[in-house]
Amino acid sequence: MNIFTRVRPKNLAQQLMLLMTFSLFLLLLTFFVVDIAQQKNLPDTATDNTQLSKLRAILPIVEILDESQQRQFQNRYSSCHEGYLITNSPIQSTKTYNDANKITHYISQYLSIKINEVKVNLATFEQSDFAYHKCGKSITFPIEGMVISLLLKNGKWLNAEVHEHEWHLTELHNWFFWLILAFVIISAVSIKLISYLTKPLAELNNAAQIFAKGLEFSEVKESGSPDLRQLIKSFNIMQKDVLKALKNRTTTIAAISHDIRTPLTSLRLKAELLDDKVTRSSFVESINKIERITASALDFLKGDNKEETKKLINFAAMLKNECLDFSEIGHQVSYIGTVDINVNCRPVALSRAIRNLIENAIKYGGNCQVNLTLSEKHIVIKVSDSGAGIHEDDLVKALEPFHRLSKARESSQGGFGLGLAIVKTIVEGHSGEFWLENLNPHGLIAIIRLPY
Amino acid sequence: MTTLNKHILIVDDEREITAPLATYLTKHGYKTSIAHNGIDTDKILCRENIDLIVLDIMMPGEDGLSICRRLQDKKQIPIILLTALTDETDKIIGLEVGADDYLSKPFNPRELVARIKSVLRRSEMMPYHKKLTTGVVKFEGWRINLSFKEIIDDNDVVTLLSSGEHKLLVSLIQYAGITLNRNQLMDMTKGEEAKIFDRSIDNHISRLRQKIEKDPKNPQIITTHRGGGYVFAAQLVFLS
Repeated sequence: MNIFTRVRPKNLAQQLMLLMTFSLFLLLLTFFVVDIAQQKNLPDTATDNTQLSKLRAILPIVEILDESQQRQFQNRYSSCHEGYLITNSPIQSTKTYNDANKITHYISQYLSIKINEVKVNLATFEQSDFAYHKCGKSITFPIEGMVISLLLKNGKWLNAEVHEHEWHLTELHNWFFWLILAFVIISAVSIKLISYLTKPLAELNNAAQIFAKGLEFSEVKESGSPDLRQLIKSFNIMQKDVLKALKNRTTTIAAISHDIRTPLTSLRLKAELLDDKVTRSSFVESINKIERITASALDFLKGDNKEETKKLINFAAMLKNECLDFSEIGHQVSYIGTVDINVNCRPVALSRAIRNLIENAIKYGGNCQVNLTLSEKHIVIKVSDSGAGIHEDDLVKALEPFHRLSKARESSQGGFGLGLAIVKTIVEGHSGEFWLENLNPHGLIAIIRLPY
Repeated sequence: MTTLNKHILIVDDEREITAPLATYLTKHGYKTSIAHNGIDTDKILCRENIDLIVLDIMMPGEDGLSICRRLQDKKQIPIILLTALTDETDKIIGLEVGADDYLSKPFNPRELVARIKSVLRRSEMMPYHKKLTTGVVKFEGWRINLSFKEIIDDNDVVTLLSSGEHKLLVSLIQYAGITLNRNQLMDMTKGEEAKIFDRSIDNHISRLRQKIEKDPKNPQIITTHRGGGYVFAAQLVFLS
């Protein structure tokens, strides 16, 4: 299963490569099967047109040769594949062959000679027979075959050997060789060519991932086949449209949150002029709450403000700074971490994220511990408290905007369900990850992992 | 109370704000005037002897930043800026154009009064000094753009400063070589966020030293004066 998944093609290039190799393999296999199917048995080989027409051509020539010339012909003309021997009497065999008559008849007709001038016998050949000594090592002897003997005018017999065409191991090797070669060539070509062809797809994929993660526009160059170009074009348009819609919405909410501040200020001033102390303080409380809601909405909309420039930041100093801001006004906030590292980031946004986490820890856990560690490719910031933690089901939900956990956590000091969503946006804008975990036996830990 | 004679000019296009604010400030013993735009502001400034201006940034016509910049060139009237924006960049711009303090709407009127008092006291107590709120200065291997809350070392690594630390450092740099006592420093650094009220100047100094001094136990940049108070003692280089 594991191996299967490992060799399973992972992209279009590999799939096409596999497909092409497989079809070539099928093609070769077909050739192979057809070749085997065309294999002739011994009588077929003996009565084969090529075999007989050769004999018909040779016979009149051999007949006019004198004895020494006949010997020369026998030696020179014989090879591994066709062997000739001129003897005083036909080569006989002890084996009985039922079809001998039929073949004899056929040959005599083909060569237009008398039937008694043709003899057909079965034979078992050793390497010493005929011209088999000219054969390579790949043939194993003895082999079964047939001898066709034809009477010459001088009373001698011309014996021609017939053997089945052997399926040699070397040829099987050849098949493997071709198969491997085909695989290598096709692999090389398809990897090069197809990855070239699918390059726009890879770029599209990258852009889609960037877009999904940080909602950042990254234009993909239109290239490749017409349908691919169309796809890329649509994708680019989609990116722009989504961002535009998002921006419109953001601007609207920002404008509302912003414009509400003037009447709020006016209200706040008028409230301060009220003589009744109780009414005044209840007014002020409500106004403050509205103010906090609009402020956190604005904070959330700003999220990871892409306009803030990235700077190389002394990260430990930044974390210590945030911790001190809280501990100096009497909160139990401690910083643990001996790592000294400079990180390229948007400091205002990231400090806001850290601040949100510390505030949450203090609010719900009563205390806070900030921890900075380094792994191979990431810096890991952990903000933990020893409060009650939250329900397992809420660990993920808590990160969604306007998601508020139980009523118990929603106190008058009031969050509006945006704090963690802001953190998430900011961290993801830095290509990082953010998640919550419950601590054992109790407590909550917020983890930020940033690449550096 | 010394505030009795102080004359505050409130500049905001929103009558809904200027009216109750004027009433509130009058209740606290200030004399107030109201302007709704740049032209009115100039007229009142010619006619009256204004001690402090509370100036809204977002106004139709000439905006608050422009008025602030213009006034800063002519007169040394302290200005507290008001804005509905909470962005850091707005604060930076506000301080760059020469405002003395900055408050975002909706503000707590009590805090505004506290700031007015503090700014007025500062302008009286401090020897006249050109406001140094922009530009880049260098000292002891550090570089700071006075309008940004960060210091940069020789390797371009940025260390962030809190609002309080930033104000403290800028104040010390502005009065480099002059000893500032705790009250003076308090006046210059408090405000911004309520929590800063709760911190002592010594705390801030100690945090600043942790960040910028090579040996915080034996400070060379910000030294303690015998009689109480601190002085910026390092060599300053003005880059722009």
